[in-house]
Amino acid sequence: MDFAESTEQREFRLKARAWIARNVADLPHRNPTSQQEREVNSRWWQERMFADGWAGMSWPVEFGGKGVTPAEDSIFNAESALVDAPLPINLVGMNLAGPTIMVHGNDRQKKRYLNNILSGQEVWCQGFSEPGSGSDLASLSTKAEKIEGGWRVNGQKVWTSSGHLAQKCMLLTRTNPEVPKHKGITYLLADTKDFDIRPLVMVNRDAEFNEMFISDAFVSDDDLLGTPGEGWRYALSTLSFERGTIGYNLQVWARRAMDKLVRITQELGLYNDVAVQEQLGRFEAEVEAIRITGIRTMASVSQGEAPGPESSILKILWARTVQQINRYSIELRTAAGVLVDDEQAGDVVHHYLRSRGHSIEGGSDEIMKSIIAERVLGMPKSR
Amino acid sequence: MPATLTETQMELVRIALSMSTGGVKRQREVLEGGQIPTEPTTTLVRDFGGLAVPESMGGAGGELTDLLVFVETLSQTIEPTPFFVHTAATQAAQGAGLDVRNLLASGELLTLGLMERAGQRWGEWQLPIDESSVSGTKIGVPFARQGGTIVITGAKNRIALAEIKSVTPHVGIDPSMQLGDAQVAGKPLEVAGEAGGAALRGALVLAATALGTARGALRMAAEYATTRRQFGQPIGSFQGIAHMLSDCFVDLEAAWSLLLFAGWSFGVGDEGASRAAHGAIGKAGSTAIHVTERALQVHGGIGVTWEADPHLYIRRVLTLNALVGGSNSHFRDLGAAISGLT
Repeated sequence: MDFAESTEQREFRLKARAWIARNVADLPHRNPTSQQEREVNSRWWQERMFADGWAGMSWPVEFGGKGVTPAEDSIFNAESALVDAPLPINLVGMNLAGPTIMVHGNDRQKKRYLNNILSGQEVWCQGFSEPGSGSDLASLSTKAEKIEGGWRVNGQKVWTSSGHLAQKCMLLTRTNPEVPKHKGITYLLADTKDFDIRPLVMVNRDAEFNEMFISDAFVSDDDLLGTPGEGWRYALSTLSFERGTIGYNLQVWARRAMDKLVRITQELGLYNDVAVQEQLGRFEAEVEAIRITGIRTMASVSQGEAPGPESSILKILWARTVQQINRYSIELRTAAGVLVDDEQAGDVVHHYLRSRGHSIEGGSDEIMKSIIAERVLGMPKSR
Repeated sequence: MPATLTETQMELVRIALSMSTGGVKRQREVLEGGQIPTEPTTTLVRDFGGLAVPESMGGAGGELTDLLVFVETLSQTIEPTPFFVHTAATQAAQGAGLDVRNLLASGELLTLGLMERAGQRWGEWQLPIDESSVSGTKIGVPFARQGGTIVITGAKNRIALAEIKSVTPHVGIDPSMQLGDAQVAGKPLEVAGEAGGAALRGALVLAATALGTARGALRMAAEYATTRRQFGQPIGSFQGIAHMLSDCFVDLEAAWSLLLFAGWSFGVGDEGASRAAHGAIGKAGSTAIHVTERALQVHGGIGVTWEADPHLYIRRVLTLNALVGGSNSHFRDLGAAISGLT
């Protein structure tokens, strides 16, 4: 058992750190105060990453990547988070769409899409969830009919992160309502230009996600992924990539929330309070547990084990920990903590409200617990 | 070398599983008034007593993480044995540089005395220790016997090997953890400084024991939930039960990550080892208690009967958590360390 970074990883970390520091200094908005400014930064960041070869590092070389292990990816993400660097604008494309196309797409699609994903020229979104299909994703009802040269699509998608920025969409559609729900799904690589995309304002007033109304949108046969009716299988790939990336990248978000909390206790002079110290210790242990469990998960995956329910463990741990730390950060300030016209308090509240979504997005806590119960603990199906 | 179990560690898991088969039954016999059987203790002490002790100290030269993996597996059947305490004491002594060669060679069982009074926090040791004399009493010492050897912590962050002058026996909540107040006096066998880090090494072994016990309890509860039927189906098909057990598993894995990392940190001499240990011991103790309590809950009415086994697991982990000063004390020490101002 060895938790030490290899020499190569250490070198990689230093290189990444230097690159990030240099580029963060040149961001269009040094201290972004709005979602729009953050998005400008994210787009710029994607372009810089692509120009200097940092985008899609863990992609195979033949697709424009560097073929490094997920460990390097997570090092880059950790170093980025430490200095509040932006997230690249095409995270969904790089983490989900690209890998899915690599595995299930044809050569023409790989050529057509992969490079544009890394460059950020085409931003992707994930058209999976629907108003009537949340946790029960396979019940989706957005309809695609076969017509001359392609498909005519009608339906509605929801919770679409980056939908307002995207040109392309991983679109799950029902093409055969006669067969069992998992069998009649077709996966399309759709253009979003004819979608009616409306932002959904979240509890913290940001609008990271959207609802998409699709009426008589045309998707060409060229943009059919794999075989019609096999879409559920490809969708599971996308979801496993989603859970995989979650596992490696979560800890830095928890670390940032924790560091902020420690600063707050110091500013408030509460660091000698026994109750506060105990609580800080409890949170610190959880944050470390996320980091170390991430390392263990990554190590077993890179030894050839398939990503299993470990990502569900991490997801639950992370969501719970970040939510608790953010809540405590508000509570510690008592009345001053809820005065959101104060910049610092407002920032904490903003993060707290956003983090309520952590136990829902990417698979709710309840779904994750069912996965663990069934696959690890051998419980019968609970639904 | 990656952060996965080594070949050696996987072999240790297999050995521990086979050696601890029947542990619950043996613990039950002790509960009903029987003696702690000589096996597997004799074999354990002979073959694995020096598992994570350097070869220069007469041990097998393994890593601390090897020992943690071994005891975490071994403890899953609440085996009634002083082996866990013996190896914890050995780690504390050796971690401070105390010479354990003769003790290991003799096969004598060591014990560990950390607590001095009710309500004492981790590290608040007042027992006077110097080269020429030790004097005082450690309370709730497991397996203490007159004339035996004890590892004690004391004032000025000192740690010593000493002979036990007398023992006032008590009845502990865990039937096989024979607890007593151990009195030491006169010239110690050997003295060292830096008790804090060394004692944490020992406490990590007890924390791994607690966590393994909880893992055993969770397995027992999961088995029960798949066989016990109500409303025409196994109770594990109800999310109230299934999700509760999943929550337990999440916490167990979190605690196990922390323990492995803390063990590794001591092994490589990482400067953050003490912090890592505080977090790991705190998390292991609180998780072990929570999980064993939930395991009892899953058993319903039968769970609160003397004849059912869930209470045996709770008895074990409550004892282990108490012996290391309680999880809150460790969380507090970690919190104080990271806020950096105390």
